[in-house]
Amino acid sequence: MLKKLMKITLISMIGGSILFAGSFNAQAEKDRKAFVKYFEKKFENPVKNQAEYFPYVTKAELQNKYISPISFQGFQDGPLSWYKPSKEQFAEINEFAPYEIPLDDGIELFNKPFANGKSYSNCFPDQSIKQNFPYYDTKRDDIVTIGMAVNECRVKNGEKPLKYGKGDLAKVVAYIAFKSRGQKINITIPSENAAKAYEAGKKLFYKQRGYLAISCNECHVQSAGKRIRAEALSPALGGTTHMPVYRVKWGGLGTLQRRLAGCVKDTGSEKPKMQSKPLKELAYFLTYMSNGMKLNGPDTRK
Amino acid sequence: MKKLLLISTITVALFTGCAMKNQNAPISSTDVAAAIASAQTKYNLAHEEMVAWGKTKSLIVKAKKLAATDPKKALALANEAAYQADTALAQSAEFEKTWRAAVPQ
Repeated sequence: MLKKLMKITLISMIGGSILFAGSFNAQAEKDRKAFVKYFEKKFENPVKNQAEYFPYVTKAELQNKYISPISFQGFQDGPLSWYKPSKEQFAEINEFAPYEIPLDDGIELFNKPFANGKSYSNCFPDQSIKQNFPYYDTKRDDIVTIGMAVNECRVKNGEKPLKYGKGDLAKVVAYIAFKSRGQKINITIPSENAAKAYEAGKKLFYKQRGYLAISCNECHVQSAGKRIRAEALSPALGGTTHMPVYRVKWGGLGTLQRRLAGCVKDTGSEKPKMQSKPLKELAYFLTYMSNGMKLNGPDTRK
Repeated sequence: MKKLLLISTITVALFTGCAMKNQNAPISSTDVAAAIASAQTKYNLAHEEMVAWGKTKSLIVKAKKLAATDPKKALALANEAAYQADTALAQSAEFEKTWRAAVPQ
């Protein structure tokens, strides 16, 4: 009798926790589906959708330079997913992929023993983990990024933490990203506070800011598929799949947060600090939007 | 009628003269310090709300540096910083009402 009672209690507890976990991401899942639908519809037939989405693009350009239709997974290549000239340039650049040298450095750094004889592989025995980052740690009630995990591993082993955003940290993350290629992004929202963090990131993405009074959304959702001068604006969907990225502009590798901080600065706002709460929330939201997409980083962008 | 016109012209000239005189009056260090403190308070508010503009902080830093050597310039910079912080906060309050409309449904 007691066994039966315990069994029922256990089952109901597990069931309850699954139900709650589901309810925490209900809004996020609704947002994500609408987000994906928006992009798929927009790029289903750009010529047909010209009046609605591309009023300033000529029909000839839509016919000759736009790639369509684009499936869900197709968005993983950012601006390369829809703009033929960018895709051609990218193919040429990647004949000798600029990210390969820093990636080799990353492999070396990853395997180099710390002073205590251990290495990153003691913290990350399975390196195919990037699809789960950033994740919400309910114990510490905070978002944990892959950069944080790398630095925590270093500190645990008596090493100094690395500078966030670029340099050696980006190289180590590049190696983890490389080992995670092909894995599908799997961000979860496990608690009420995680849902709040998601909402804060969402607000940061959609709310206009800075002296230019623009939002991330205006460039990377509403204007995705258009150009700013010669640059093709990338869709936010799939924007996190290829990180860390070698940007020609930077002349080196940079993490997702470095890219996001640059974007926020471009709106005329104060540049947020690496690993600051708003930047982590923005990364959490944006990565959730690409849930289910295959990772293909590190990669090259202009 | 002519008399009225003359009186009003003189009045306007007097007021303009006073204004010009005030503009050229030496700026006291107390005025500059007050303007910088006000700008700093407004900036802190905008920064806490994560809506501060990119150059506001550097304007305040410059104003502080110039306070002793070029108070006129320092006052102008502090006022500019205060304006930026004020506008950032006002704009944020406005966008708070509208951003949800941009979320794809």
